[in-house]
Amino acid sequence: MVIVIIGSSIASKSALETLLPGMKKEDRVIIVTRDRDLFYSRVLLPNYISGELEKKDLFFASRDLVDDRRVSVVNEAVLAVDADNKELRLNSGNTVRYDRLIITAGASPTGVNVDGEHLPGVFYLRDLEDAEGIKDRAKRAKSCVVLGGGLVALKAATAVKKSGAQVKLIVASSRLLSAIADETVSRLIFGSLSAEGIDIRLGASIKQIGGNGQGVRYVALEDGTVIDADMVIAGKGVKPNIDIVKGTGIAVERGIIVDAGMETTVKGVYAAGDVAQSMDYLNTRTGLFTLWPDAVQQGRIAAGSILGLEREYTGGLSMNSFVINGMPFIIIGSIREKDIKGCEVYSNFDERRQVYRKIVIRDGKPVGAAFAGDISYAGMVYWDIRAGRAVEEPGKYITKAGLKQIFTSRLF
Amino acid sequence: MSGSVTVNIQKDKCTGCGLCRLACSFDKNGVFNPNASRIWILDGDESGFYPNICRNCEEAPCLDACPAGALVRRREDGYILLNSEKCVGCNMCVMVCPFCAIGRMGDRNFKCDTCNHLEKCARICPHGAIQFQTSAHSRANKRRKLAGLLTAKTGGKEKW
Repeated sequence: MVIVIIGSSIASKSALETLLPGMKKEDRVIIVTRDRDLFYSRVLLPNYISGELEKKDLFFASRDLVDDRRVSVVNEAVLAVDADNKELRLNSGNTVRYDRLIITAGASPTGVNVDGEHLPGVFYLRDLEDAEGIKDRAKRAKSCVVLGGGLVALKAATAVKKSGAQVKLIVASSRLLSAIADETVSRLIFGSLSAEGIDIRLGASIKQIGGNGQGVRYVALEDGTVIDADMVIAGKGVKPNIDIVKGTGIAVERGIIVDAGMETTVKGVYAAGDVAQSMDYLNTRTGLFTLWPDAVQQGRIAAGSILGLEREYTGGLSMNSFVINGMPFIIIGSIREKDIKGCEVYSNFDERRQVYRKIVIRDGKPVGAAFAGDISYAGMVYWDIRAGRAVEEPGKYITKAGLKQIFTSRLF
Repeated sequence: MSGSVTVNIQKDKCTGCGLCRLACSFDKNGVFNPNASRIWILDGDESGFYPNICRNCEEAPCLDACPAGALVRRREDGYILLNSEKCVGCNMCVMVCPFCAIGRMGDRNFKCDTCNHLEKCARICPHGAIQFQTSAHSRANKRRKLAGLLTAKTGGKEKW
């Protein structure tokens, strides 16, 4: 049996690691990837730009993993999946035949779609090549404009700031991290970034990127403001790479639709990681869970399904952990005002200590939590949300002493 | 091999004296500072005390959560180690640890590493409240490792 894996990031590695010990002697794995370097962590690219990590530190697995006579690597981009003939058409015109296929094709950055978006000095931050370009340009740049208020944009902004350039963050939304954060968390992030010397403009839309053959010179906003800039980083989110399955029977919405065994609507074809659209942990809706731990599990489950192991994905749960200017943040599940209407909400903000905690309860069960400044006992709350464990004394979830009491009482 | 080390905690034997925390911080940071310890003592008020430490989960959520390749199982006994050289301090492991047994100091996360098999907390505990137990399989592995150390392979330089 020939098992082909498209992609070489974490879902791919996780699938490969599961396949190798379980597959038959005569089975083969072919990894088809457009990545020049295999198994590097995209999450760490900001740390590489800032100089905190070297290139060698970005790898979460050694290339030795593919040094197995049953594994081969094809370094080419996939043009299309031909599910009827069970083969991949590659950019070069070559084809690769498969018996089973795992698609871990990831996602690509959303374009900025304004004049000047192709000027030298305009970057996205997704691949190692992007990070190398940013790192190189940032050495010479005086002023960098970062577009977007999501995690990638925030991390890019702090990374470039560390390399010495002036950084302006231009955010279309009226608050930072508007896709996952509530008002208070947004405000705290704003404070942390500002303290780092990053200039933030909320509710500002970009009209044009201006420059010449040498590259970017300025960014013009809709309100007429013109900002000098010799580099621009666009962090406007990502979209799953679903084009390769167009015209096949593989169903897509925002991502490739998968079941609990990570199988797509075409038998023998699986998807995992950022490209997959899977069920959430409450079994109520499907979504894109573009999170590291989910990619690990999904890759493992896809491989397990091929090996005949009966293991099901327990469902995606939005969760994020990040540190800005030394301040730790954890957001689990739903905490945004518009997502939690009709829920019981308990929160506590200690202005002096700069510590914020929040718990969101629906029908007696926790569905969201936020921690900022102090993340103690976040792990317990994460599992409470996942397991739908009834909340008895909600007030205890928003103080350190209360959380400690809950945790302690469970151990006794 | 995975998860063959089990951490056995007998809370009824814990007096809350804190020697384990001192031994831990001294081994790891060279100071007697409970805040640097990888073991915590929970005060159950009238119910007594509970020494809390990594349980080396069989299916460990932290292993799946680390985007830096910093968390791995030690080959010889399946114990989960956090490589501080690779750690970027993102707290993803903290967010998913059901035992709240991963901490953070400076810009790195940290957890128990069994003091490289020396298990200082367990050794110093006067009442035997903490025990690291290894399965027969992992003891066999340990013996193989010892045998390897005594042979030419390592030049006999490493200490057991």
